[in-house]
Amino acid sequence: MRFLEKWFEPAVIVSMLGMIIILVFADVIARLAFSTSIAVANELARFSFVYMIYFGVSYAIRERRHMRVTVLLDVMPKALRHWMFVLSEVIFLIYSVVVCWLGVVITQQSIDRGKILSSTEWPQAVLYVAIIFSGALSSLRLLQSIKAAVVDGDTRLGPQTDI
Amino acid sequence: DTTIRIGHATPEVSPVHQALSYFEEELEKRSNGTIQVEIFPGGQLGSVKEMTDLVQSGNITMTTGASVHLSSTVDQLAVLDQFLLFKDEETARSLLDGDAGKTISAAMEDRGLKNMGFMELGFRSFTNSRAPLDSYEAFEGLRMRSADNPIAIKAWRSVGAVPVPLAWGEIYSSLQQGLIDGQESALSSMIIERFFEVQKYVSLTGHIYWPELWMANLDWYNDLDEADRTLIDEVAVETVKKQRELTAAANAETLAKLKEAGLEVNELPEADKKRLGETMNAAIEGDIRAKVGDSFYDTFMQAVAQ
Amino acid sequence: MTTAILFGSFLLLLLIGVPIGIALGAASMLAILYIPFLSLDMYALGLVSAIDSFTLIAVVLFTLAGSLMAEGGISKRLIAVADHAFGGMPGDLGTVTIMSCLFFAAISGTGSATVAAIGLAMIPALVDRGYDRAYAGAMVASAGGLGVMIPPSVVMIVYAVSSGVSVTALFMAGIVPGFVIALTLIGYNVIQRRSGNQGAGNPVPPTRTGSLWAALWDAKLALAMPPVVLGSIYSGMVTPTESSAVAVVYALIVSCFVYRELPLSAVPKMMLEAALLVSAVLVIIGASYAFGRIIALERIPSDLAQLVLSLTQSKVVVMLAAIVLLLIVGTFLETLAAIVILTPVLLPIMLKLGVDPVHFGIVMVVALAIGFVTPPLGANLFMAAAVGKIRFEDIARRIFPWVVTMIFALLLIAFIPVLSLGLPELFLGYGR
Ligand code: NA
Ligand code: NA
Repeated sequence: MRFLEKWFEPAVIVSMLGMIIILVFADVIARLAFSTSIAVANELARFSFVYMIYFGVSYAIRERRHMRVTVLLDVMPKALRHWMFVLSEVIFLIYSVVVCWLGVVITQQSIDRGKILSSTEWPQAVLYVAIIFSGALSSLRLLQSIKAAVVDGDTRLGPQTDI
Repeated sequence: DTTIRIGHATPEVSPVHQALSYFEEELEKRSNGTIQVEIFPGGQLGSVKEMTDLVQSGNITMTTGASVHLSSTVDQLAVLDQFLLFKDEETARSLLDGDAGKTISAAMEDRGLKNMGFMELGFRSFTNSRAPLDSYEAFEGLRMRSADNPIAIKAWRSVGAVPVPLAWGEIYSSLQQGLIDGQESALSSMIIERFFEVQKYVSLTGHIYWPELWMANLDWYNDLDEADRTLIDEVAVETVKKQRELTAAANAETLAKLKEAGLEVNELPEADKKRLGETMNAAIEGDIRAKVGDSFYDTFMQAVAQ
Repeated sequence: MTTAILFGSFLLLLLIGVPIGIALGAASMLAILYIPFLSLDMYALGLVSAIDSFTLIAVVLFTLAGSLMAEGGISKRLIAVADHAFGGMPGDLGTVTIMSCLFFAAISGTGSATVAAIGLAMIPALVDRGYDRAYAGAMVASAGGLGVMIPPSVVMIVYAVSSGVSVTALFMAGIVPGFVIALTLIGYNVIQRRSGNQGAGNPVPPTRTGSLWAALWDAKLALAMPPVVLGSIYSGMVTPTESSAVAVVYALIVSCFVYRELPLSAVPKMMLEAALLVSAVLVIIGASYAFGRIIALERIPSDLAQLVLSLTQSKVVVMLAAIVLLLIVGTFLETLAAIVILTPVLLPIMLKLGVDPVHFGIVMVVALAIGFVTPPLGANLFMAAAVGKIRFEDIARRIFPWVVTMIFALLLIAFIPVLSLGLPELFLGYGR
């Protein structure tokens, strides 16, 4: 369980990124060297990218990597700052629960409407499932983060890197 | 009072937008302002697929899009991806306004979309720099851009062409660099995308006719009161008629511009057209049938054959 | 009212420290709840369709390529070349540092990777040759912005997605402005060195070994990278996204198998790091979809355009106002958030005034890249402080003149459009 808690998201994220590199590169080689193309490569790469990003969103909570504006927080007294952090995580939690529920709604809708992806002809719902996963995992990560903040007083932020 | 919000992905100068503006003016006037129309052009509200989602979920009222972009929403639209299905514009219009069109409208209603009418983009044609495409044989070995679409690729291979899947935005540079000899598109694109600068020949192959579908949210349409619905239907018919006239005029103007730019224009003889269509459609019939279902395929083709 | 709800709740959420993407998303949800004809499913659809983009894939791949090259020995060889070629010039090692950032920028898509790669090696070297440590850090943080000004650039990719212009055209348009920035930074450093302003001490004689040719030969694989990656895009052989995959594979092969300075076992960790960085910023893109639709449906951009154009029809005044706005926003907000929020608002005004969308894109990228080094949220400052072992306060105190220098270059780029549009017009036939 511990192992899963630590490695589940990273494993998905790294595999998805690996898939992206292989698919996109293989399609280039297929075209330039063999004058053909891998019809599903583009769509599968985008599929992997959606999963990579939305698993990344939840894992970034664990690492406290989401970017925040801290101008106001920096001038607040320490105790107030602490509770502002808890408040912001609670808002994030509400957001994630809503997103998870909305993920279920649009997955159901797209199944009802018979939407399919154009190359792989998979149901479009497979993409929307990423939102359900992301919302659910994010909610769990946020509960952990809130617990760490309230019980252990840990409100440290990870590196706030821009690109 | 009703507000109709229409999103579409074409620019404000396009026949689609011009016609929808007519729809807006006439409807607001004839309803004495009880129906308001708001148009969001140029893809402000997203791609054709995204706007179709928004229409289906009722966030906006109407959108337009080429049939080819919508077959992931309404599978049956794939029948329109067949080649040389209609002899000329008149035939296409009368068939789509008649029984063949009704089968498509019914399929759209199954997906929560009300068909407001078939606008048109006109027949697609070729440009290339190798030789005029004046016979069936001229396609042999032609390196041409194709969409990333397995069925289209199969069809072009069946007549000996070499389809190269490329994104729309890469066509110009690929023509310039000689990666491909030619491309197929609506006439207007040859000017808008400046393909004419890097091509020698325009061949009026008329190999495919894609209608621009105009659709509304079905629940919204069914909930309209009788008088409003009648009025909207009436103005919609006029709007489609106007759009087709504008497209025909724009295409004639485009062709004149292409000639003026020094491109050599030729037609593909009827006999070769027929042969091209038969070979390509035979190659993809199985795929199309698998997508749309045998009974739909047969019903539609019967209506077209009339 | 919708405008007040949307922007008011966004600001409020930002200020209490809610992550930027979530603040944008929650504010959009509130606006959707308020607008009677919209439903929340639209928000969720946008989360997927905004990210389901082949173009955006290049963001993570160019980020990964940059970090592979930073750790794989490529940056070291580029620095050696810059040292031989520019070490004898005015500004000595400062010039070398800025030129190294320029070289590295041509293979990295991000500013932070550029700061990390060059700063790690150059800040200690600068200190050795008598530069003040905080001054050196400020210099690297500023020149690191070249990472997104010189193609490839993840910020340009996001602008392209927001505005609908071609990535290829933007990439080509960024080259000359990147050089303009580099030259003004070099110029500022030369002036400082001449006036002995930053505790320069005596210039230590150079310690270069071997010849320029030997350094060039040693760096051949690193130097081949920009022509391979960018050349394949401009020749129309591959799309920008495909070239980013080529860049990753190339960097992997060179770092792991040719230079052998990066163990293959370290790669998954770097992949995770790149993905995390990109997820934390692209969550903003997902949320921006609904935001963009709401402001379009409420006709906020066109109303604002009308308002602005009723006040003034002067291109110069509007451009200056936009630059001021971009600099202020860039100071407080993350770059991609600024792009996805401001592009739909500002671009229609610029188009109405006849400003070219590619040119405006370059202005926007440069203005926001200046935000990389403006405290409080200056990512390049954090990075330079970390790799150079400098206190953040010290580096922040030293940054001001560098910011002024970059603003000077930005004004040149904004008011001389040919700097941006010359190359795409010449080579891509852009805009004819
Ligand atoms: Na770059
Ligand atoms: Na900043």
